[in-house]
Parts: sequence; C-alpha cells; structure tokens
Amino acid sequence: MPLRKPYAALSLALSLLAPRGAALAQVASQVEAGASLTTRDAVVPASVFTVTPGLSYSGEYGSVSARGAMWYADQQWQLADGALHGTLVSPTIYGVRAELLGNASRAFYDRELQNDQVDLQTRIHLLLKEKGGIWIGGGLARPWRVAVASSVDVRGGGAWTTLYGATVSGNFTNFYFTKVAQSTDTAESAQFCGASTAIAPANLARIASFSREAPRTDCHRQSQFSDLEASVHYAVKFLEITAQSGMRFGSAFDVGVSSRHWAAGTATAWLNDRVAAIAGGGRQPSNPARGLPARNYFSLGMMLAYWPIPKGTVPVEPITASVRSFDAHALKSGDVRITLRVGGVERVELMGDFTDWSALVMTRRGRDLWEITVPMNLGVHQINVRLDDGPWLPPPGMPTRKDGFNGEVGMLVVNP
Amino acid sequence: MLGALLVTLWAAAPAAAQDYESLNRTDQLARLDPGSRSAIESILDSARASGLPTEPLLSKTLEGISKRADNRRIVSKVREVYVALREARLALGANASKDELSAAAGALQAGVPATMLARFRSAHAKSVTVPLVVLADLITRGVPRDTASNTIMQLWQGGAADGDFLGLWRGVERDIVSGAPPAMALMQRAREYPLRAPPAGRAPGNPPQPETTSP
Repeated sequence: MPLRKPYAALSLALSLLAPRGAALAQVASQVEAGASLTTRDAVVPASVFTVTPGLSYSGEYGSVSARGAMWYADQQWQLADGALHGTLVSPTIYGVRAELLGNASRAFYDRELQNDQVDLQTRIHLLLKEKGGIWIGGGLARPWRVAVASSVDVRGGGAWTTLYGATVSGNFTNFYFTKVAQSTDTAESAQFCGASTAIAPANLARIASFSREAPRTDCHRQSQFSDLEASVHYAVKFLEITAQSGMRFGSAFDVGVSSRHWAAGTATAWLNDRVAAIAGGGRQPSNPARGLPARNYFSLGMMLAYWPIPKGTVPVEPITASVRSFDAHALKSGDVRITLRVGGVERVELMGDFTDWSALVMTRRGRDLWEITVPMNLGVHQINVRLDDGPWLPPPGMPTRKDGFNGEVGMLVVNP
Repeated sequence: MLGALLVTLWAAAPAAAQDYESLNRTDQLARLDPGSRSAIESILDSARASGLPTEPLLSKTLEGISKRADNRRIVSKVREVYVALREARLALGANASKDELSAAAGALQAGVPATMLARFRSAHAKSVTVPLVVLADLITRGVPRDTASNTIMQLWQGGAADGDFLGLWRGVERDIVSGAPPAMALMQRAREYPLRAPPAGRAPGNPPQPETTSP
C-alpha cells in the first residue's frame, strides 16, 4: 500500500539529462519543501520542515521514479522517507494491458518507528472505451524491521472513470500476512496469544532482529484486512485538487478503531508554469503490515518543478502520443477556447485554417495544461499542433485528413 | 448628420474588415515565387468565375507556405483541391455550403467516388459535412473504401446525427489503435447502432469474418 506523503513542498529546479533517442520519454524533476504537522494518538504533535527532491522517467514501456525526504526536527536533519518505483507496461491489445510494478520504500515516522519494504505486483488493465477502465492484480510485499513474519500477500482490483472532467477511481485491496502479535497489544491479542502456541524457535532470532527487545509473550497470527478507497482528481485551469476517502474492514485484532475510516485531500495551485503552492491534510490510516500507526497531518508548502526536454533527440514514436487530451469549447463571445494536456514539452504551437495557418503559441497553465483562445466560426476546421518545434501533427481525438504535404491535419468540429 | 455618418460607418465596417482580411491573405502569397503565385492566382480566378469558394484554395496555399512545402507542390495541391471542389459541387449541387464542399473534396481525394457523394445528398437535405469528414478519415486509416462508404451511407440513411458519426469514429479509432483490423473495427462498431447498421457481411467489400476454431 503506497504511503501518502504527509507533507507538501517548496522546491527548486534540477537539471537532468535524458537518454538519447527517447523523445517520447519524459523526464521530470522537482524539489519540494514545506512544513508539516502530524499528530498521533497518545503522542505529542510533531512539526517538521521537509525538503524532498524527486525525479521520474516515463517511457513507452515503463517508468522509474525516485524521491527522498529530509526532515528537519529536533535541531538536526534526518534522512526520512524514500521510495523507488518502477513499472513495466505491455502494449495495449484490444484494450487489455499488463503491468509489472515494483517498489522499494522506507517509511520514517520517528527514530523509533521506521522500516523498509520491497513489493512486487502485477496488474491487468481493461480499458473501457476512453473514459474508464478496470484492473485486477496481486503481488507480494516484504517489510523489514517490523514484526511481520511472512511476506504480505496483496490482492485487489479497481475501476476508474472520468466524470465532468474529474477522474474518479475506486480500489479494493486485501492484505494477508502473518503477524507477530504481542499479548500486550490489545485485549484480543492477550486472549489470542494466551491460547496460541509459542513462537517457533527459528523465528525468535528473526523477531529479535525486528525489534531491539524481543517480547517474550509473542505469538503468530494470520492477519487480514481490506481497504476500500475512493479518490477524485480534478484539474481545472491552474488548480489541481485530489481528495480520497477510505474504509477498512477486518477483525478488531487487525484493524483499530482509529483506522476504520479516513479521508485526506491536497490542493495544488500553479502560480506559473514552474511554481505551485500546495496545501494538504487529513487522516492517514495505520499500516499494520509495516507497524505504522494512524496519524493526522496538515502540510503547507511550495513546489518548483522542471521538465527539461533534451535537444537533438530523435523521436522513436509519433509525439502526438504524449498529447493526452484535446478540448475545444465555444465561448459566448464567439471565440473558442482550446486546451490540451501534454507533459514534458517547453513550447506548444497551434495553427489552422482559422489562423490563416499562422502559428500561435499556446500558454501553459500549470503542470501540463496548455491553453489558447482564438476566434473561430462554428463548423469544421482544419487544425495542427506542434510540440517543441517538431512536426505539425493533428491533435488527438478527432478525424484527420492527409494535408498533401506529407502530413495530416485534424478535422475539428466546433458546435455551439 | 452625425447619426447618418455613424450608421454608414457601421454598415461599411464589416465589408472593410473583410477586404482587409482578404488583402492580408493575398499578401501572404508574396511568399511564393512569382511563377507559383501567378499559377495560384489563376486557379483562384477560375474558382471565382465558376462560383466556387476560394477560401479552401487560399487556405491550402497558406497551409503549404506555413509548412514550408515546395512551391510547385503547393500549386499542385491547390489545383487538386480546385478540381475536387468542382467535382464535389457537381455531386452535391449548387446549394452546397463551403464546409460541405470542402468535406466532399476531402472525401473525393481519399477515394470516395462522386456517385457516392450524390447518394449522400439525395438521401438527406441536412449537412453532409461531418459524415464525409468521418468517411474520409476511415478510408485514410485503412478501412476499405466500399466498406467505409456503404457503412456510413447506411447510417446516414438511417438518420444518424453528427454526434453518432463522431462517436462511431472514436470507437473505430480506439479499436484500430488497440490492434483491430480497420474494416472489422468499423463493422463491429457500426453494430452498436442496431437499427442503422447494415447487416453483417452483406455490405459490398465487407471483409471476411474471422475463422473461429475450437479450443
């Protein structure tokens, strides 16, 4: 289960190098910094200043990303959370796509509460038309420095769709693992451990390595719980909002009252094409498989991001593949507002019969949103877009026609 | 007096703006070499004389200039558009709109026969622009001409609206991108319009159905 970062950020741009011959691939970097306040049951609230650099590489058949965090607390810097993610994606055939996901992460709550985990999952995606999809999958997770005596079996499924411009998703995930319980954990633990057999000697040494003091009243227990989580992501102009809420099902032994329900949200406001302000807060459930308790958090910060595009690279695929969406909306003024989402480019131009084929530079509004308003009559228009001085290409999502000059134009239908 | 002057200016403003726009566009032809410019102007004159819209021709010229195409190629393409527009008007009739003529010209250039265009016009009085745009695209994407023409025609005769054609196009495009054979993708998607689609396997040029084998 991915950890939600309980902090936001202030950032700095990084310069990165991207491999040659991978113009379709996108490299992104960012450094975040901000302040975060966290509270846990029976623990004094803690506020920390965080600095979090991160970078990612996305290609046609996979992606890799890494990020780490440094926390400034107790008048010293500490190397805190860190994560390395990798994904391999198969080609989509008849709407079906396979994914292999691997993660290595470190969770850090405080000096006494930290551990590491690697996990591997496979997923099968079924894309339903262009506005939704479903997936099922499963895998294994292996935590360290936590009292879990087995790998964690993870199985789940989910669905997503778009509604009124928002992406809505729902996921169900089941976790199954052998936990090293302590009779002092809960009343249920005491009852269970009192009736159970003692820990196998072979595991005692292992348990000792998990914690500084191996408890003498431990026992094994098959733990299982399930999370049902819904999330909404909405991006409009310079604002991105993400909200999520979840419920956890399982026995009282495995699921505490504090983690039965949770909700959290993050708002990102792009001040220009590089700088964003971020505010977030909410409830983060416990992670029994990693021994991490539930906590509340609130964070406020800034982010500076950078998506450099190396010069001289050779496209290996039509770059239109990276234009994720195109939309034309007729305004009451008689103009048409055109927006498209494309990441990893520095410049987007547009031209068509409505501009007398003069190129107009689109304005960036946030992470990957580009916008322009142009006068355009109702009816059918021919249109091309160009990314970073590349070839003129038809935008996605509309019929095309050969232009007679070794290219194609999009046929944009503008309705009232 | 002042009121009359204002009214006169108000009435003259659109015409003046149009003239300016036209002049501005014509000025852009100066970016062509003299011979090519002369050839383009000759085609534009011919279009005006025969009552064809010159806008698609001027647009194609400006497109070629912006895309840095060779001047001779621009002239050649503009001439092709002119011929296609002339043929489109013959098929669709003198009342066809500029958008309809432009769409029909595109369909002709994609390989749709003129007789098919005439059938589109005779089936309905409403605008044929979007169906023809979709038809030209489908042929460009590899759907056999007759399969595409007959399928779109059947939907058109069945009363499909512009939104239906665009929805059909989205489905077919998605299937093709996902690896489906273009003709099969069109036929299967067209069946989502059960009252409108042609019966499977009966349209001329319909591709053979895939053989099914028992496991």
